[in-house]
Order: sequence, then structure tokens, then C-alpha cells
Amino acid sequence: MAHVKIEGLNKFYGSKHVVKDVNLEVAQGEFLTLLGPSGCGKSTTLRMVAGFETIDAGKVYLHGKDISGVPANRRGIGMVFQSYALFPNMSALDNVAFGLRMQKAAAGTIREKSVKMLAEVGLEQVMEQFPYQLSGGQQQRVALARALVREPEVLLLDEPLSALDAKIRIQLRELIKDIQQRHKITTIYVTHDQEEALSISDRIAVMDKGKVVQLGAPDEIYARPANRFVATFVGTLNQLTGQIVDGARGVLDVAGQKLTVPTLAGKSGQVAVGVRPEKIRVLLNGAAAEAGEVALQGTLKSAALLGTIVRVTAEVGGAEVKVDVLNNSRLPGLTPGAQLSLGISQENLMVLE
Amino acid sequence: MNKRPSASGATIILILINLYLGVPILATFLFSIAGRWDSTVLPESYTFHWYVQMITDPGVLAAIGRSFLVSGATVVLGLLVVTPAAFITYQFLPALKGTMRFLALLPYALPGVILAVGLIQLYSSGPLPIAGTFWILLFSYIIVTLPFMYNAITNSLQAIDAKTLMEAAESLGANRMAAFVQVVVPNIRPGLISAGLLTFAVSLGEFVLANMLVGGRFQTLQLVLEKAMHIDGHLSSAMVMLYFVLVAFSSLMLIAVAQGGGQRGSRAAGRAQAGSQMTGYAQ
Repeated sequence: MAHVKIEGLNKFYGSKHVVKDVNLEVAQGEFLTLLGPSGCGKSTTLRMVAGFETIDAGKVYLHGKDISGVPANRRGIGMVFQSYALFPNMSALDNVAFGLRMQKAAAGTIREKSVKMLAEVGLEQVMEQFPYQLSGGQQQRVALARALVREPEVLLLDEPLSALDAKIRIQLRELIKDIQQRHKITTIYVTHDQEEALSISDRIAVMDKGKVVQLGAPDEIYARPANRFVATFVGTLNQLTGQIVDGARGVLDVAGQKLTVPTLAGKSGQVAVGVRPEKIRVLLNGAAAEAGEVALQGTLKSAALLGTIVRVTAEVGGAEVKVDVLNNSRLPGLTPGAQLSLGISQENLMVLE
Repeated sequence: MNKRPSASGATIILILINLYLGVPILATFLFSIAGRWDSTVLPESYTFHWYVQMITDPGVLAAIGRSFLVSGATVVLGLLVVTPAAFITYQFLPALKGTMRFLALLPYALPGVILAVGLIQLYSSGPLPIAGTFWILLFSYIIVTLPFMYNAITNSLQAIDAKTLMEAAESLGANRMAAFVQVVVPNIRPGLISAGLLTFAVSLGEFVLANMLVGGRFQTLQLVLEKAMHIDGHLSSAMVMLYFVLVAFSSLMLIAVAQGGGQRGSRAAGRAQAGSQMTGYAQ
């Protein structure tokens, strides 16, 4: 049985339908991420699970029990907010202890559990400090400890890393994943950052305009996006638009260049195919495309060093094509204006609809 | 090079401000201890006669007591009524925010005289005949000081993002009452202190309503002061000095009491919201 089950959830703000018939099941100990652009309804969905927003239609079940009408403080759910929401008048330790105090636990137990939890997030040194004395990353770790110390049934995180800078964000996301796995806690995580979602989740529900448009494991979402929105929102995607000139074999004409894409067989008219930057090869020294590969001719526009990779931008028939090349491949001097041959394996071309 | 006002420039500005604020008080003090002061720059002689006369007058001391009573009651009752009202509006009825702000500003727009006439008409008979009593003065002071109370509290709530703090507390198992008392109130304490101080000072210095609503039946310090002004300038100067000392002293007491109970954290919260509160008072 699903640990958390969201059934036909709907929310209206006035006449605006912000969450449309969302159905999700989260298994015990699973890490599910709601991913989408701002305004897609992901936070509202999470807040309905938490009990902070009323549900206009639909139900939320926890362990098969309908909790849709249960007040937030009796749902047994832990929540981490984007703005940390630590209590400014309490030390880190008292913040963590607050939830246990509300449970009326014994004073000794409260302290012992709180200290242990703070140690687990690496903050035993600063537990007597007040929120304003802590960095953003430390504050969010206190908030995480505070949510977890009560051993909630479900942990909800609403864009917990969005207010932090890049390095801390990655550290903290690893800590969250680590603790989540150690405690085997069922987690629903909301983010608009696709990289974060891909790296941390067991499954991702991609949301757009209030609906879940695709639900699947990160590699599945990335490799087989359900539609054009998912394909472009998750990861970087090159789009090549052209005319089908041979419907039987699936030959696409992109600005005069013929690409044979078997998955296009039987289609006609104008279609678009997409390909990820790292799935394109730069063919050096006049090397030809291999079997099962299509070749594209283009002009080099720029090559930018991003650290581990070099992002090569080429122009192909008026469209930009981005190619990611590992920094260790010995590329010849890439001068803008140079002719470039690109090879793409046919199976990496996704038909976009 | 970034240009900053030089230290000496800042010092000059500070001195000027302090002169502007301090000279009238100093002059009042001088006048209150002056004997003869007709044709000289400084008084020809000095005396504590006026102070002795003031302190030995039982009417003055009683008036001070009444003023403190009504002002203190205004602060306590105002905080008790307005804090929950401001919180409920902010948290649960955001649609009413505009209306409440408008209502809270209304006392500014209504001259005290009009308010007084209306109140007397309304409360001289009917179910609540309190005209001419201490109660009508108390209730009207709560209304008159609403702009300070309501705005200071609402601004504090916004500054600490009370909505999210409430959600955090509720997600940790606190019911709304516990969340409000244990999380929201301690964090808006600096706002409550400022609201209380302003309310206290405004009530203590109020004359029009006291004069029209209760007059001789509940003589406050301001009424006695006004009477003294017609009799003797020296005496009224002495009373102004006493009034000044009392307000300063009671303000400091209030701050000390309120801060003493708070922890370091509430001062931190105060630091974060000081700015927004100031905009509240400025309205």
C-alpha cells in the first residue's frame, strides 16, 4: 500500500485552477520530487498535503487513512520551508526541541534527542546559537533537524535550497539525501531546479500548469521525456525542425540536410526532433558518421569552457545546436566560423510532439 | 573613492538636532526655577518655590495618579484587544487588511473635538451610559491610539513573516493558540513594546478628549497643567518638567521590564524589524 496517496487533488484561487486533478502515490521510504516552473502548482500541492491549504476537491491518504480534514498539527508531517522559518527567539537547540515539547516529552528525553539530531546534521558546535548568528546553510540544517526530530511519518520540503548559494546547495542536498536514506523516511520534495531533482530523487513528477505531465525515475524523465515541455524543462535540449521528405524511411529535411530517423517513419509534414548536447559527437579530421548515426554540417559559433565540459555552439541551418564535449578530449583550436561535422546516434534523436 | 560625510559633518548635524530638541526643555527648566526674569538674558534669581508649590498641592499628585491610571489601562487593554485583532486579520482574513488599515488610520482624520461630541451624544444615555466617567476616556484613548497600536503590530507580524512561523509551529504539532503564544508573541515583543510606549506617551499628553469627555470629573495631569498655565507660567513650567521626567522615567521602566523578560533572541528579532516599524509610526 502506498504510504502517501494523493487522489484527484484540485485547488482553485478564485477562478484560477492552480492544481488540476493530481494523482500520486508515494511508497514507504521513497523520495518523490515535484518538479516544475514557478506557478505550476507544485508548492500548492505540497501545502495541501501538509494541511496549510484547504483542498477544493480530492483526498490525501496517509497509510490508507484519509487525512484531508485533519488539522496540520495532527497530521504527523514534518515540513522544511524555503525561508527556513526558524523561531528567531529560540536557540538552535530550542528550535529543534520545540516539536518534542509540543509532544510533552520528558525534559531529559527532549534534550537528548535534540542534541543527537543536531549532531546528525553537523551542528553540535553551534546549538546554543540563535538563528541570526547562523549562516543560511546552518539555519536550513537546523530546520531539517527540527522537522526530523519528531520522527514524522512524512517529510515535506518546499524549495529548501533555493535561498542558498550554489556550493552550499549541493552540500546540503547530499546531506538531505543521506539523512533521508538513513531514516528511510518517506519524502516529498518540491523544486524548480531540474538538476537538483535529477540528482536527489527516486522518482520525479514533472508538473506544468497544475497537472502532472510525467511521472518516472530521473533517468527515464531525462532520456524519454513524455512531451516537448518535459524535454525542454529537464536538461538542455537542441531542437531541429524540418520537413519529412520520405515518410516511408523517416527522412527529415533540416535546412537542406537529410537526416534519417527511423522513429519518424510513417509521419509527414513538419516535425521537430530533439537531442541532448552530450549525445552529439564532434567528428574530427573529416571522420565520417558511423553506422546508425546521422551527420550534420554546421558552422562553429563559440566554444565556452564550463570546467569539466566544453560547450560548443554550432549553427546548423539557422538553428543553434549546443554540443557538450568533455574537457579532456583534444579538440583542435576551435575558431569561430570553422566548419564542423557533428554525429548523432539515431536512437538519441527524440521526436517532439 | 566612495564619498562619505565626514565625521565632523555628522557631529555638527547631531549637535544641531540635540540643540533643536534640547533648548526648549532647557528653557522650560530655567523658567521653572527662575525667580525674577524680566530684562536680563538669564534669570536674576533662582528658586524652587514653584516645585514646592506643585508638590504640596494634593490636586496635582492626584491628577498624576489619574493620568497614569488611564494611560496604563489604555496600554494594557489596547494590547490585549488589538494584538489578537491584528493577528487574526493578518493570518486568517487578509481580505480585510485594507479595511482594517483604513479604520486604524481613521482616528487621525477625525479631530478630537468631533470625536468627543459624537461620543458624548452616543454614550450619555442608552445601554451604556458611561459619558463623563473614567471608562469613556479609557475607551476613547484606545481608539485614538489605534494608529500606533495596529500599525506597529501589523508591521511586526509582517517583518517576522508570522504566517510561515505559524505554519512551522503547526507542522511541529503546536495548535494555533500555542503557536501564537509561544512563537508569534515573543517575536513581536519589540513591536509590542514600541506600540505600548507610544500609546502611553500619547495618552498621557492628551488634552482635548480629557477636557471634553470628563473635564472636572476626572482631572488628568493635562487638565491641571492647562489650568496652571492661566495662573502662573512658572508653576506650569515646573509641571511640564515633572511631566517630562515622569514620561521619560516610565518609558525607561517599560523598556527595562519588557526587555528583562526577553532573551537575546527577541532582541535579534527586534533588530530585524526595527526598520519596518519606523515606517509604521511615520504614518
